[in-house]
Amino acid sequence: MSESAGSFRESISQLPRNIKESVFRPEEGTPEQERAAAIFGNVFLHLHSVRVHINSLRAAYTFGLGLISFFLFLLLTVSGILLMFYYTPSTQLAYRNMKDLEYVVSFGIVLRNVHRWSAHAMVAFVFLHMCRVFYTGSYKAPREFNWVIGVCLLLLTLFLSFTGYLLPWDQLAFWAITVGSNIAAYMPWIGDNVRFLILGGNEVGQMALLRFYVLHVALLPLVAAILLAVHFWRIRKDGGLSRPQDQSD
Amino acid sequence: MDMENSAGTMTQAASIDETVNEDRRNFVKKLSLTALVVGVGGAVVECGRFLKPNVLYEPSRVFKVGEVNQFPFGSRTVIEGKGVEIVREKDGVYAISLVCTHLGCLLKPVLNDQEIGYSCPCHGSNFSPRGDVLGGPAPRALPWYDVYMDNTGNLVVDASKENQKRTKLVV
Amino acid sequence: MPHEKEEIFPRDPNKTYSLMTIVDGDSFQVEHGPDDTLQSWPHLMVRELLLFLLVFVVILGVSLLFNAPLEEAANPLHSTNPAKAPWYFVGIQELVSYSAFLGGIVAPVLIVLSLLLLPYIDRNPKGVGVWFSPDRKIATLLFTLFVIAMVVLILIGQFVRGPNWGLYWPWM
Repeated sequence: MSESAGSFRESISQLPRNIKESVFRPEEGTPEQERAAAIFGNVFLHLHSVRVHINSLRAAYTFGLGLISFFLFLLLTVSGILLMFYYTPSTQLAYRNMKDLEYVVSFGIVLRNVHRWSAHAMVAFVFLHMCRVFYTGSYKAPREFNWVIGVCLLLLTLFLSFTGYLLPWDQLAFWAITVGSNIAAYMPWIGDNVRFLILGGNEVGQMALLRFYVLHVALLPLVAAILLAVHFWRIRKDGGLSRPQDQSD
Repeated sequence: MDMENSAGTMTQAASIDETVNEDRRNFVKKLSLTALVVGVGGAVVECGRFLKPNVLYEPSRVFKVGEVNQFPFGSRTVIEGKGVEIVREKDGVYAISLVCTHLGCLLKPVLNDQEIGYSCPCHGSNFSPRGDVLGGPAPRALPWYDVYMDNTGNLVVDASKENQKRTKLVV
Repeated sequence: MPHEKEEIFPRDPNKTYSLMTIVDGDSFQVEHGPDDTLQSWPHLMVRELLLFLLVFVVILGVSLLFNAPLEEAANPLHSTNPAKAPWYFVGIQELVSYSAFLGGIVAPVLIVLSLLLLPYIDRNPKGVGVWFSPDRKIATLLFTLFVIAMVVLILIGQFVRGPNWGLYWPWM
């Protein structure tokens, strides 16, 4: 009895430490080993290698373009989820929701601005990142496949941006999507069917808005997140960021 | 020892009809692969039908535009919301589409111009009053739609049927 | 302690130092040559965090200063004049204004295909890890032409095209 009471008191007094140890996997060893464990013992950080080459840290080599793109993706995810609380994908309500965000919702306009400007910036930075990778020859073996994943991510960024463009349901959105979907209709043989499937009908209307919404908030971000994970993991597996060969080896 | 022996006979037996086995194996492999591709591919394509809506809640493509008297001779009347213009001339009535054949923008009728009847605000295509392409990227002339008069004396436009011969309805 | 293993650092007469001994290490670096690497934590992580803060602050600052555009509600009865795609597509739209099939389908498909196949076509192994390596002048030139073409098309579409997609100078 007393034993269990003592262990109970003990468990209360050790509660903070026990919780902390259960969350952060305790790794003991030399300082170097502990620092390494900080990376590989963390599911979010283990996409990094434990050690990085100095060349990867040179700001003038990468300009952090890929990281900036990823951070913008994070900002877009957070602001987008918050915006979803006030948005209805309906032709009757969508535009009114935009006005509500501007005039009624606390910080609504700031969130919408963050989402819109991050989206523009992300397209630009993904493109700049691609230019960096090209001009430094970083797509060469063994990094070919990561370049291919990167191109897919560029396309996903464009699709995400394009599907999001319709959601405010204003004049800009409506006619840009009308023009865009009609371009798809020029595909040989399957064009008209593709347009019908994208829009869920013959014209840009309620079905099109719903389809673009689902693509924008669920399907495309999910695919993008998965490809991002593969993209980052491949950096580590392909030997870190590219660098001149004769420098270290 | 026993194990080795049996293994030896096994390999011998295998090597005797190796060629036969390989052919059989390849054939079965190809057959099952084809079956898999056909089966899964067919299932995926059929599931794609789910994405194709069978009922559309869109305005009907067949609509009344009003009595003939509302369109005096020589008038060109834009029907709002339908993307159609009704043209009444001495020798008949016809309905011409106002949706640009290039990328689907809504054409603006050009007034006070002998040659250009319509111009597109999106990419600058120009059309003659009869709908023929005068300039710009538009690939086709504007379609004329079927027009007929119903039993109440109203003109009806059927925008799902193109009037290929460009005949005018004599009223 | 003479080591019987293969020589890790061959003796180099040009160097003023040489390998004296190999001892049991306490890290993953045992039996590796000297390299120019650093621990990701903290060297990389701290930089990444700072960059994130910078991005966040810049985006927040821009968002507080400039409102995202919102035009009047969608109206299928009146097309805007000119109707423009988002800026990253106006380059394509500019091509589309010449020919919808060539500019809207053929050109984008060609661009995407050549980007996807690029690492399998350009097998020149030289010039990795250096900006504008002199070993790959042609590749650099071609890609620069592509980038310039995209930028010029986008600039034309965004700033020089006015009503009816006619050419208008932005200062007029």
